[in-house]
Amino acid sequence: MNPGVENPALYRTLWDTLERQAEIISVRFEPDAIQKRYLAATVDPQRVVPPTGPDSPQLEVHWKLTPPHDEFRIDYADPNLDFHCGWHQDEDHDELGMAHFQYQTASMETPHREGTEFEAASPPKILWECCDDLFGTVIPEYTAL
Amino acid sequence: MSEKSAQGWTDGLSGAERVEAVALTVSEPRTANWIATEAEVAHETATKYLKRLADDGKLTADTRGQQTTYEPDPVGQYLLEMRELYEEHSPDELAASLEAMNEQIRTWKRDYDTETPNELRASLGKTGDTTDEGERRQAAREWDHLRTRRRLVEDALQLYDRFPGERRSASA
Repeated sequence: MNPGVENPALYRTLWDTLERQAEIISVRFEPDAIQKRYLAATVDPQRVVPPTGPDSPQLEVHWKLTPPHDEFRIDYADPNLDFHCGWHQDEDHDELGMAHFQYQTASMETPHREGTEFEAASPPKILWECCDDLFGTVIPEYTAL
Repeated sequence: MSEKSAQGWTDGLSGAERVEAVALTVSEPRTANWIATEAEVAHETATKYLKRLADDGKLTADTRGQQTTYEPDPVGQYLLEMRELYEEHSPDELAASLEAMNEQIRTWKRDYDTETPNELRASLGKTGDTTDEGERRQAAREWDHLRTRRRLVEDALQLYDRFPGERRSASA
């Protein structure tokens, strides 16, 4: 597709990927289903490991198809623990490579960032890979008491 | 290893669904081989589903020599999206969202003192503040997106004038 042409199938597909995550209760478009500026998902605080609460963590997905490499941000925030993390592939912090992972816990003044690479190449699979990493490794590792 | 990490991308998704998910989200033309690898299906399976998606107008196929590449069909995607907007939202909702988009664009124009997303991009690197730069880049991306969405919503609204009384879902 020509640069600048939006592909509505992108967010539709990413929506399906988020809905398939066991930890995610619901997915919605922000600010509404007409503008579709980005996707936001509500995470069940009791389904993540270790469980958190009482508020529901949020996962946000911004994605733009920009050949040869998409620009995207996948951000998780747990308000109960003041924990944030995200996978970003954009022009920010390009000294870390094409994509980086960052996280910040309540005791940290600034986020820690490190370069990262993905095994997957297509948007739904990259998102799946990040969710897998998020729920399987990152949350257990960085938010355990 | 938790129960969660044992579940992979392929679980619960058929080969056809995986081919569609990959093929509809590529940002440049890709071969059946590339799509087959990413979707984790056999080459023949990918080719079969890709041909079907092309027949349905969701993909365009381009054959040069021995090689066929596939990418999302912009017209097909546009029509699907316009139909969804038309069927799932009332004219009032569409008009209100259109106004919200216009207001957001006016705000960017005012805040960054620029007329277009590209002008905003051209201003990058002049402030020397990386946080501000990130925000400007994000605003430029969203600005591009809203300009495209605005045209779609305008087109969906015109369907009401063209086909008055035809809409099947709940009325405004």
